[in-house]
Amino acid sequence: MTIADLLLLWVPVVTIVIGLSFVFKDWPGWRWVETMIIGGGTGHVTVMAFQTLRSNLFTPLIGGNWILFPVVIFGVLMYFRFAPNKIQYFQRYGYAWIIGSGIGLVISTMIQGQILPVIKQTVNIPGATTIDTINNAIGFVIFVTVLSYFIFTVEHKPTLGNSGRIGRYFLMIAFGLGFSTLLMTYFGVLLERVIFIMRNLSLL
Amino acid sequence: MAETKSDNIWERIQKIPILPLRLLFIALIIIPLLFGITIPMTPSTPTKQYYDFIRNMPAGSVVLFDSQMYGWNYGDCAPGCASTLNLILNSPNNLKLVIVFEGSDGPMWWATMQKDYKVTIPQNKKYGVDYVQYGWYVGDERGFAALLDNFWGYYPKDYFGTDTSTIPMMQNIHSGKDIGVVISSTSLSALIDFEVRQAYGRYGIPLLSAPAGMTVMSVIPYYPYAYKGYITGLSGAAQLNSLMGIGGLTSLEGTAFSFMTLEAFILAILGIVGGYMTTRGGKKT
Amino acid sequence: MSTVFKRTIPIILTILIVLVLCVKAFTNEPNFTFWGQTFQTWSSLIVTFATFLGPIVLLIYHFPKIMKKANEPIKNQWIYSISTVSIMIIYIVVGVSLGSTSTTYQWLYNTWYGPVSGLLNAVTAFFALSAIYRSFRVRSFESLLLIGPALIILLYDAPIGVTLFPPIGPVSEYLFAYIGPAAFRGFTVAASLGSLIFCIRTALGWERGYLPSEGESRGA
Repeated sequence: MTIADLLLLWVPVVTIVIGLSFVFKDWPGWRWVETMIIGGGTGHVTVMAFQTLRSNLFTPLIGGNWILFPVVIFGVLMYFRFAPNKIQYFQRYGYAWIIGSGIGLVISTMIQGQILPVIKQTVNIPGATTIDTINNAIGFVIFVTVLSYFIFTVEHKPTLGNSGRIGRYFLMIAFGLGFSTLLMTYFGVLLERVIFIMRNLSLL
Repeated sequence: MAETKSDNIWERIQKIPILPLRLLFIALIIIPLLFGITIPMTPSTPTKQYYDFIRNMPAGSVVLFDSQMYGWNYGDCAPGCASTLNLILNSPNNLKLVIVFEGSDGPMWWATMQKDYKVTIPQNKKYGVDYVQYGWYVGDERGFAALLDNFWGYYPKDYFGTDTSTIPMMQNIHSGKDIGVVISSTSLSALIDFEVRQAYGRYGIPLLSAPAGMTVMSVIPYYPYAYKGYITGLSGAAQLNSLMGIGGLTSLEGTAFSFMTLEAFILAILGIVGGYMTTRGGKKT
Repeated sequence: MSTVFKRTIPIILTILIVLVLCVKAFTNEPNFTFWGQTFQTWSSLIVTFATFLGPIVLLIYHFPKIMKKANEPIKNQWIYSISTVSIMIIYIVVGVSLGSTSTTYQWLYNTWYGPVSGLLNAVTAFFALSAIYRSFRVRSFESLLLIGPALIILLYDAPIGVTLFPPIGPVSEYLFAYIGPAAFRGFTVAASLGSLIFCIRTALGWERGYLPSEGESRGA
């Protein structure tokens, strides 16, 4: 086994154990592991971004695909946030691209992709069997009451108020489901780190 | 807090220090793994639908697998990725698999996942003919929309540097119109939303999901009309494995996971009942 | 004139991009299709350019602390700053020169960063456990609605729970098949309508919060 292999085996085990010790006490070892997370994460994302730009931007650009040239201009403009105040506003041109494209994609696809199909699915009450129809009707009632909870432009007087309250109750049931599924993720990640240690120690 | 003279059993339970409970938590992870204890998992309805949809796809259909794996969701997403990879590569309908990554760490963890879960590529499956791996598509929804519109333009080369134009299976895959299903494995709710908007909304592509537990609540509003099925995190992957009749690390993990959630359940009950019993009659905890 | 460059042009640019992408989505006109796809590609690459702001801001924050041997916000902060910056620089130098698919970079990733990158979530599992034990209290009907389904699903996730209490299975499946989706559909439609309205307001130039202000902090 080379030194590199030994380090590959033991360094992760030691750093994970130090990291998990944070549960018991905040100490300098955990702080050092934190620096690994922050420094390593930033470095890695930078490397991947550089590679992506090299293959998707600079190589085609050098190969003659000049239509990509504005990317360089607007990308560089984003770094004017570090420039003197007088010319700092040039960074807005880069942000305009990011925001504009995000908004354009959302506006053009949200209604037919997200909103209308959801509503269509919910109002489609008749089902294959009586039980399905009853369940779909219950789903419809839940949908309407939950929507009524989010109406903020009209005062929640008796009808809307009661409907909103019932909607809130169903939302709480749904968030209760969400909490337990969130726990699943945390438990799964911890489980995998323990398995990693066991595997490196040849216990598994 | 000083103990009063008449601490009843519930008050004493409330005062158990948390350290032994955490150590018990770790022990409940280690014991089933050390002794290879497996508990049979009953597949849920969405898991069966996930399995059936993949198995019933027309022969030669293209599957776009969109993975968002990072260190912080690897434990919950990797089992689903491994089980799905096994299912697709061993499916008799000869599916074509295109793998893309929403996150920068994805390619590194994908390699780790294949090693950890011993995903073996069947001998009759060849890279470039049956499956191909691309890199990170940047810009989230912008990148996803761009690759669905013009796959070759967005990915001129695959992850290993091979020209897309020279990859045999990519000759018939140019845009979202050529894709049969999009499968996502993610802990990011926004990814679910933008896949619904771009893949389902614009191209009508059916969706499947192997989300982390924390993301499944973002999937269920679109189920079953956009998302035809889903497997949730680690337990969903274990259920899928039981459908496929295979065991392995995922099944062991499912058992350890079930012990962890059982301890959490018992502690929750003790906390709730204990809290009620100690506050009954005006006594405070 | 300065208002034109500072405010008007960015807003017009935003509106132009939105218009092109919207028209491209609803027509098959070749020019709009071409420019719409081009704008999508440009914007995803511009986002990539923005990624380099991360290491720059990190350096701007940590370098002064190293130079001054600062002990704020924690004792010996400057030593941790040296560690953070040096690890980042090592990754960048190795990754850029050798590539992320090289054996050296893979070793670096799998030894130093990869294994610890998920620790924050792993540690949260312990804190979630103590939170469940210490803070789950049913004091009202609403808290019962929140905690009850959470407990049912916790038990459902442990297969032995279904063996011990068989009704847990169908109840959980019903919650996930009908109650949860219906409630979250209402939530999704409400949230989608809200974000759609916000997007339209931004596209019309009425919301300008996304434009960074002058003199905004440069990362320090």
